[in-house]
Amino acid sequence: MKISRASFLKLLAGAMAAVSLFGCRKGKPLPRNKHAKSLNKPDKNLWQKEIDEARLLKPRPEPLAPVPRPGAHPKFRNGNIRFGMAIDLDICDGCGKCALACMLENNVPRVTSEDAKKGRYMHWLELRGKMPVMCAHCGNAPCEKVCPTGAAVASPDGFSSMVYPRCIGTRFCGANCPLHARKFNYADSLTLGLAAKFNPEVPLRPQGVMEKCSLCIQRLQNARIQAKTFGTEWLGKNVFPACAEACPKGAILFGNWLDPESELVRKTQNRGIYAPKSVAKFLPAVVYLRGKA
Amino acid sequence: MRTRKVKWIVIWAVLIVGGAGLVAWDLASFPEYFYERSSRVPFNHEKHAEALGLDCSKCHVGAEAGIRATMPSKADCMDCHNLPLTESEGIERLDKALLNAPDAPFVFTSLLPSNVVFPHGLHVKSGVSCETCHGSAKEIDAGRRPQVRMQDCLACHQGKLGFPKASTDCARCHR
Repeated sequence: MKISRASFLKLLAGAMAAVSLFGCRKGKPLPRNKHAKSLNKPDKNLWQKEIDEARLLKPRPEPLAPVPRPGAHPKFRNGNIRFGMAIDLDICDGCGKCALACMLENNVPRVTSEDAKKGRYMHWLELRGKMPVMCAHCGNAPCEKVCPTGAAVASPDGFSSMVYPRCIGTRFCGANCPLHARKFNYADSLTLGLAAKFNPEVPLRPQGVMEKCSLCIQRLQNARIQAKTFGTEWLGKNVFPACAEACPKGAILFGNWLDPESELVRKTQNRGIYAPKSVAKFLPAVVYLRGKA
Repeated sequence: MRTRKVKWIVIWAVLIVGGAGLVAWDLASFPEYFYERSSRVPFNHEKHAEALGLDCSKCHVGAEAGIRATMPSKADCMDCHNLPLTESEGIERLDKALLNAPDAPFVFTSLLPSNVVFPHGLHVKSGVSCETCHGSAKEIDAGRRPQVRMQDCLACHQGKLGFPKASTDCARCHR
């Protein structure tokens, strides 16, 4: 069969039109609404077991150095909120209930056995010796300075926040954190069955994303939203992160460093305020209490 | 003359085979065309909201004061529907659908990424109506779902859409 040039072009144009029409089909289908099904609850003991495993790896507590009382965040001098925490090492006996509460609250994944051998545990709050250590929420944070995408960013509420979708996984922040408080998702923990959504308020982090203690930002956000919806003034009162809530001895104090009436400020009066030596000069908001000032 | 006839046969053959192939491909990719057309009667938002004057938050509890708007369960429907609402006889098909409906509320899959919080109550309080994002009841019945990108959030939060300025701090909405 012989086709003239004109009809070949016509056929070609028709084929192109068909292809472009094919591209106009509707895209990804919307999620369907389903009726609830009961799901198998994940076993919390697996998480407890991992915490016990991880504490054997780090038997020495962080060396401490005295620091002044945390004040306004250096980037937000005019703010009236600087969230922070004080852990009373005179009361704390290192039971580890805070670590489990943290993992369950923030849907922290477990790690594969290869990663565990390398000490790549994801625990946002880990026990070094008997001392609970988490992100210090430095005012002058070394991690925020090296993030190329602005995923690690200071919040005007005085803590260091993390925007997961922005993180491209360079791990610069983890390398620059002297406290090693940042954890990297090496494995796709959800597919491997190592992650579980204990708390629907907190998203699961995908593979290749850095994460760390967020001071239970979901609780802070929800409390602020509630206060604003009902029109009451809110200076970070009556909201506690999971670790502080779980501590049986009340050794973890949480509050607003800039509110003189907060429990945190009142109970840290006349106490020796310390921070891990490695981050002591970066104006941390998470500090340790020991002895009298 | 003969080549001309052959040419047209080829064109029609390509069109018919190609068209049938595209339809088959489409149905294979989106199989819900086959089986999701069940006997279930979709909820008529227009009738309930605009004709009866019900607020969205009557069924979607939390839409006006909570963080999330929730889905009603069958018990919520039955609060009204077990009463003789009108003089007229019920429509058999609707009564049957309601009778056979599962008790559990919908597990609603939001299009909002799980790392973002959208406080419904706070937005209603600052004057953003449900229709701003969700569209009218008619559009909701037609299957419209709000598809909001971050730039849409930001445009409004920066005060470009006529509402007062709001916070643009990452950690206010992202978690």
